[in-house]
Amino acid sequence: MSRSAGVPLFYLSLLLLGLLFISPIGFMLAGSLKPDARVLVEAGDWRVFWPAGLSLDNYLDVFARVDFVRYLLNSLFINGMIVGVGLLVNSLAGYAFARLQWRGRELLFGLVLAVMIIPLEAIAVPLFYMVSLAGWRDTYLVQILPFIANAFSIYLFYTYFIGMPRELEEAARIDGAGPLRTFFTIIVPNAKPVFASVAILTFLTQWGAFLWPLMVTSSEAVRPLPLAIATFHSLPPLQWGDIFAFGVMMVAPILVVFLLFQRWFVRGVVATGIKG
Amino acid sequence: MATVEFLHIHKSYPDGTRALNDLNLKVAEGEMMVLVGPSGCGKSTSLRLLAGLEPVSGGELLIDGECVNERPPQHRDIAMVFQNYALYPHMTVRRNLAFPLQMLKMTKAEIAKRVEETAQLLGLAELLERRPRQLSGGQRQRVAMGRAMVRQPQVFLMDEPLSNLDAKLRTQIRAEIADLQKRLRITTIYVTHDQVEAMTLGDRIAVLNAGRLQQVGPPQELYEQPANAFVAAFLGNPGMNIFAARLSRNSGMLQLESDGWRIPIEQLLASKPGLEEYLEHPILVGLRPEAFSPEVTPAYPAIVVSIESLGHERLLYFRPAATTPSTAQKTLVARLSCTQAEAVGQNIRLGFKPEQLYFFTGEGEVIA
Repeated sequence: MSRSAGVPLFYLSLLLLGLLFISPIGFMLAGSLKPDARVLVEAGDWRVFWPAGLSLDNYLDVFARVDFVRYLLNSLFINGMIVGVGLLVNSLAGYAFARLQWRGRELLFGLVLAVMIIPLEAIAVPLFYMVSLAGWRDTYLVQILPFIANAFSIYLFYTYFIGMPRELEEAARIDGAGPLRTFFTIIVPNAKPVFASVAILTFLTQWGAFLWPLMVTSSEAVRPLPLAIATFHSLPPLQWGDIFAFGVMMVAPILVVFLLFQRWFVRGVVATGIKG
Repeated sequence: MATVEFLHIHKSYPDGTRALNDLNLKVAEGEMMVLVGPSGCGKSTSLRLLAGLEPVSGGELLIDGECVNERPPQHRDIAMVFQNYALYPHMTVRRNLAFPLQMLKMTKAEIAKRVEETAQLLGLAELLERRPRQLSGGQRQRVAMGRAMVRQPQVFLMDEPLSNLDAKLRTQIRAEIADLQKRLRITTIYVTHDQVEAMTLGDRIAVLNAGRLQQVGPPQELYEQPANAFVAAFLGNPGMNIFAARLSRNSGMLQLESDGWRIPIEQLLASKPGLEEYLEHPILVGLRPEAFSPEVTPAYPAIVVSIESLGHERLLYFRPAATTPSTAQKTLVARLSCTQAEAVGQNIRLGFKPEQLYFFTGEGEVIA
């Protein structure tokens, strides 16, 4: 096949792949805008992507059935804290591993890497006992604190910092800056891509957190969005239109965050040499 | 201005590498000292030790007579220009220059004044609002110099500051650095692997090899009176030809035998009585490329191996033509004018004055 014939084919396959990935979101969006009765009926054919009988009833229904704003604010607060404090803690840790000389550094870094392979599900029960003993159940703190220090984030920061020219820090040292000032005035401003990618990756993973909040919270006052969507399954009648409307509103913040930072995100992924 | 002294400085790394071995070197006030040597000789390490970027393993570092071994870099009153400049990429030239002054907690007015002065001195006034990536290589180099100068430190350290520039710019900035240093008279230690830079810039040159100081002195002295074969071969472009030879007597007259050449040197005995001791011993002999000439007699047979034309002169690579050709023969180089045209493979005759010969022991130490 000639090269010129290959290019349109290549783009066509990319287009099809893109459509495949976006189709669930299209399904959800269309479903959220049509009467509940039609959602499942039309699920088998092309009309699934067509919002016939356009209405916002499902959205109004969501607000009537749960305190959506409360859940949204909880989610935003919890994720904001995890991302914000996490960036500070993990970047400092990554820097210490990458650049500072101290006893036990290699051993501790090895442990941090090892922690990456342990899923939350494996430690959820002992962790639950710990936070119960501390009396933290049903608080914001219990949903934030365990997720601030993150081995994968530390690793991303580490790989980025280790690749930065050492002379920058040496110049700063000779100019009279201590380690913390060097970090905040020289390193951080030159590491925006890795900060952006860690922020987005953390936000994406934590936004959908379900198991842990379900275990440690019981009151609506502190629960995040994913738990609210579950109430639609547990409380009859099961209305798919409402669930889709909820889903659209829950996905929207992620899309906004991603679109805002996507330039940095792509650069960060390239710079840290990882896949998102 | 200050003096700098390396006293019995040792540096070894945890993996056992010895970077510096008993370095003793004193740099006078206002002097431009160039540390030169091949890569891995310990010259950059010396600079990093003095800057406080790495701890010494033994010995004392003195700045103005005070031991600074334990002092952090910012309290040594030194400034450093890095090979890759290490300008802060996110700051404008103005902020790059101001940063060291901010660390000294100077007032805003003072900082502005110093930055302006330095920018004027280095011709950076027009570039103050640009960022490093918007500057050319030469401009970046100048900003790096400016950031070092703005603090008015006691000692300047420069780690191969010209190696990232193209040849033409290098010559230009080299002259600028020499001029600045003469005007400011700040004690400067300049590290380079380029012996031309060393010869042109240094008040004195310190030649290092394998972590040891080989010789220190004014450029011309090192060129004319090298302490050993390493210094002789390292300085000069191309460096001195060094080849193995043997001293013998022929009808009572002292002569040098090498690759079929028999060079009468009886007349040298008066100035180099030490030669007598090495009779019938293998020694090393040195000859600068410019010592050769087709016009001088006695001339010796040679075979042209290759020719490099430099426009105003030629570098002629040749092998001494022995009666029995051997593959072990060493290629020598002669710097000749462009008046004659030899061809590769041609048999020629080249002469030199015996006084231009240098003699070294088999270990490379000079024979007096």
